[in-house]
Amino acid sequence: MPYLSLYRKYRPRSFAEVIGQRHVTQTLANAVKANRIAHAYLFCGPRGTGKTSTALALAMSLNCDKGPTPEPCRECEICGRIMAGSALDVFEFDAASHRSVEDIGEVLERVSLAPAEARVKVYIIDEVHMLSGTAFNAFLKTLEEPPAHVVFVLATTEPHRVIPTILSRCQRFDFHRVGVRDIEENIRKITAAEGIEIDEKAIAMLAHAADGSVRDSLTLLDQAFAYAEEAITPEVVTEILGGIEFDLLAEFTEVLLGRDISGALALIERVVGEGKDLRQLVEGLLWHYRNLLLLRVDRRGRDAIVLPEESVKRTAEQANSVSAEEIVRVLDLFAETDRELRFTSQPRLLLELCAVRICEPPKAAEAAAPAGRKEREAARKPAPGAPAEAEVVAEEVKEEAAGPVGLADLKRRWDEVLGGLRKERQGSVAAFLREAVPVGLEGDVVTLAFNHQFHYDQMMKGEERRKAAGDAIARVFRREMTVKYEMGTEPARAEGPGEQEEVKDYLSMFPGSELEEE
Amino acid sequence: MKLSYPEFAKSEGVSCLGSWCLLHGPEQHLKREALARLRAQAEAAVEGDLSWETVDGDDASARDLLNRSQTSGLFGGARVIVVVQAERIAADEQEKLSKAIGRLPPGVSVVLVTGETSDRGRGRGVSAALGRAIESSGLAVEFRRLTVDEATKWATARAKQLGKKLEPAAARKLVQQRVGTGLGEIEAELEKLALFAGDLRVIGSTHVDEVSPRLVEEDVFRLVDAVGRRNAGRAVGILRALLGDHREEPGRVLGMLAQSIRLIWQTKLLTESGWGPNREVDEETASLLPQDERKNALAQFARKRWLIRRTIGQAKAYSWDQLRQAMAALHACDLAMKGIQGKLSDEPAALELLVVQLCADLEMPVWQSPGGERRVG
Repeated sequence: MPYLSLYRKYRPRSFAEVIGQRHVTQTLANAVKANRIAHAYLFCGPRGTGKTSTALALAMSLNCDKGPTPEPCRECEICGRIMAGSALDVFEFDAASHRSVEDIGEVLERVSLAPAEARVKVYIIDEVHMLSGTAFNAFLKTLEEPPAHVVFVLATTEPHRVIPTILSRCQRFDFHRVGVRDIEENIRKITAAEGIEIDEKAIAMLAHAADGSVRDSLTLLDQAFAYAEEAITPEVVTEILGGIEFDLLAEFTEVLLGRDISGALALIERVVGEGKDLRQLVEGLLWHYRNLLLLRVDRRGRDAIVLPEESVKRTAEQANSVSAEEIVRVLDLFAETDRELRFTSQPRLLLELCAVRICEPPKAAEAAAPAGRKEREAARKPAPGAPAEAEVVAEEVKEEAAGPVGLADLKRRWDEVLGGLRKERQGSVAAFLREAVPVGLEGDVVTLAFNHQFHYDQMMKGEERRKAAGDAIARVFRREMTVKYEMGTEPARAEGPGEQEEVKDYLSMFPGSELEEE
Repeated sequence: MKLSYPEFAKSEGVSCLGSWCLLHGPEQHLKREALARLRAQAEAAVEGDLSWETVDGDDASARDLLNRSQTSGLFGGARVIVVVQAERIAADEQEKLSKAIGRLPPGVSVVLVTGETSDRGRGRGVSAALGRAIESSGLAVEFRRLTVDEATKWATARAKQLGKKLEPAAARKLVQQRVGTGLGEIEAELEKLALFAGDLRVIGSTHVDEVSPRLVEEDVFRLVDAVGRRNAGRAVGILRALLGDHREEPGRVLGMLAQSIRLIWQTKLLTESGWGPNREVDEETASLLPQDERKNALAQFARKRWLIRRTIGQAKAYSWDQLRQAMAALHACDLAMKGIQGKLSDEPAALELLVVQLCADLEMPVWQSPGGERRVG
C-alpha cells in the first residue's frame, strides 16, 4: 500500500476533529442539527487552517446514511466515498487552475441535475478569488437561485479579491491561524499514535515553523520523520527547516552586541563554510533585529513574536542589553547591506564590512566618517536664490575640469567618487573607501587614510580594487591621479589651521588675506 | 407615484399590482421583501392561477415587455412580469419603453427591479425618462440604505424572529463595527450568531466578537489606537495579523493608516476649536476641513457615530508635533516601499518599523536615500 502522508491520514473527518475553529464548527454543527443549511458558504483564512477539511466534514454530515448529523458515522458507503474522494456528488474544483468561464460553465451545467447517490450535492470551489471576471458573473447567476439540492462551499485565502456580489450571497466564516499550543498537542497526539519518538523542543520548533497551519506542521513532521534515523531531535528539525535557524541569528547578534569583530568574521567564515545563503542570513538578521526593537520599546511585544518561549526569552535578554537607537543603527546597516547584496558579486565581503561597521563604537564611527551627514547635507544645501542642484553640479564639473583640484574639493566630492563606484558595480570598493578619508593632495597624488586596519588590508590586497578607486577619482575630476593608501585618521594629525589644505585653498582665492584666530 | 421605503412599508394599501412598478436603490434585501409582499398580494387578490415570470434585464427588449404586458394571465389569473437587473436593459430599449408605458390589462403587473450595483451615482439605475414614465403611470419605490439606528433596530427585531434576544451592545457592535447597515449582510450574520449560540437565548457582544468577521478598517483603527497609546507590542501584533492572516496589501494598510492620521488631525483641529459630540462646529473651522465628503471628518462622523468618541480620544493622545512627524514618517515609508527612496524596500518590514517609530518616536535612518541624503522623516 502506498505511503499516505500524515496530513492526509490525519485529516479531520468531522467538525469535532477540526482544530482551533470552534466558531465555525459549532455553528455548522448546530446548522446541521437544526436543518438550517445555507445554500452557499464562503470559508476565508490562511492556508492549512481547515477550510477544505471543514467543507468535506459538512458534505459528510449532510449525506451520511445516519444523518444529516454533525457526527457522521464514517462507516456507510457515502461517508467512505467522500473520505476517499470518489463521491459522485461532492465536487472539488480548483479555481486557481480552472479560472475561465468555460471551466466553471462545465461544472455549473450539471448543477441542476439531481444528486446521483447522495442527499445533497456539495460543490467545493477552492481559491475562488482566482476565477476570472466573466467566470464570476457566470457563477453569480447560479448562486442567486441555486437548486435546493445543492450547497456551495467557496474557499479563499484572499476574501478581498472576491467580488461583492458573490460575498453578499454567501454565509461567510473566517478561519483563524491555529494556536501554537493546539498544533503542539496535535503533533504529540499523532506522534504517539504513529510510535514516533520526538523531543519536546523539536515539537515546539515544528509548531512555530508551521506558523498557524496544521497542514504545514504535519508536512514538516513527515519530512523530519523521513530524515531522522531514530528520534526527531531539534537538530533534525533545524536541518529540514533549512534557511537560517534562530540559534545562528541569536549567536551572530551576541557577537555583534559584544562588538567582537574577529568573532563576527569567524562566524561569517563558518556560515560560508556550511554553504548557507548570506542574503538569507541578512534577511534573518533584519527580522531578528525587528524583534529586538519591538521588545526593546515595549515588553508587551512578546505576544507578537511567533517563536518558542525559550527563543523569545533569549531575544528579550538581547533586547535588554542594547539601546533602541543602537538597534535602529544596526537595522539601517543591515538594510543597506541587504540592498547592496542584490548587486554584488562579493556577498561575503559586503557582510564582513557590515559586521565591522556594526562593531565600531557608534560615536567614534560618526567622528571618523569621511564627512558627517550634517556636513554633507550642509554642503548640498543651496543658498537662498542659488541655482538648482543639477545646475550647480554641471557648473562645478565644467570649472573643475578646467581648474586645479584642491583637497577641499576632493573631500567635498568624495560622495560622488563613492557613488561612481556603485554605478560601476564596485559596491565593495565603495564600502571600503567609505571608511577612508582623503588627507592629502600634492600634485596628482592623493593620499587616503583608513580608520580601520581591515578596510586598509582589503584595499591593499586587491590591485583591481585600487585601480577601480583611481578610475573613480579620475572620472570625477577628469584627470589621472595616483592614489596612496595609509593607516591613520585625519583628526589625529596635528595641523595648525593655516596648515590645513582647505584653509590654504581658501586663502589662495583671496590674495593678501590673513587668518585670524577667534 | 414616488415613495421611499419607510412610506411604502407603512402603507399597506399601496401595491404594485395592476401597474408598472420600479423598485430601485441599494438595499437589496428590502427589494426582495417587497417582491415577496407583492407575490403574497397577487396570490391573495386573484382567484385563478398566478403567472409569475422573471426576465433578465440583459435579455429584455421594449417590444417583448410590451407584448407580454398586453397578455392577460391564463384563465383570467394574475400575471406578474418581473424584470431583474433592470438597469441592464439597453439604453435605446429603455427609451422606447418610456414612450410606450401606459395602462395595463386587468390583473397584469410589470415590476422592474434594479440590481445591487446599479445605483452608484446613476439616480434610479434606469434612465431618467423611464423612471419618470413609471412614476407618472405607476409606482416607483426607492430602497435606500438604512441609517445606523434603523439598521440596529432592524437587527434586534430580526433576532427576535429567530427566537433570540440581541443585546443592545451586541446589536451596535454588529451594525457599526462588523457588517455595516446592509440588511442582507446583517441577516446572514444573525443567522450565524443564532446558530452559534445554540440553546442560549441571548446573543451578546462576545458572540459577535467570536463569530462575525472584523472589517479591515476596524483592524486599522485598532492599530492606530494602539499606536496612539504607544503600545508597540499590540500595534505590531495587529499589523502582523493584518498582513499575515488577512493577506492585506501593505500599501493598502499604509493608505488606511494615513487616512486615520488625517482623521485624527482634523478631529484635533475640531476639538481645539470647541467642537464636541453635542456642540456644533464654528464656520471658520468647518471651512478648514476638506470639502470632499469622503475625507471630511464631520461627514465621516455622521455616517459612523461610533468613531466620534474613539477618534477624540486618539486626538488627545497625539501632540501636533507627533502628528506632523507621523505624516512625514508615513510619506517616507511610502517612498521606501515604492523603492523611490530609502534603504528598506521590504514592504512588511518597512510598515512594521514605521509602526514602532510612531510608538517610540525613534529616528529611522532606513528612510534615507542610499546616498545618505535625508529629505523627509
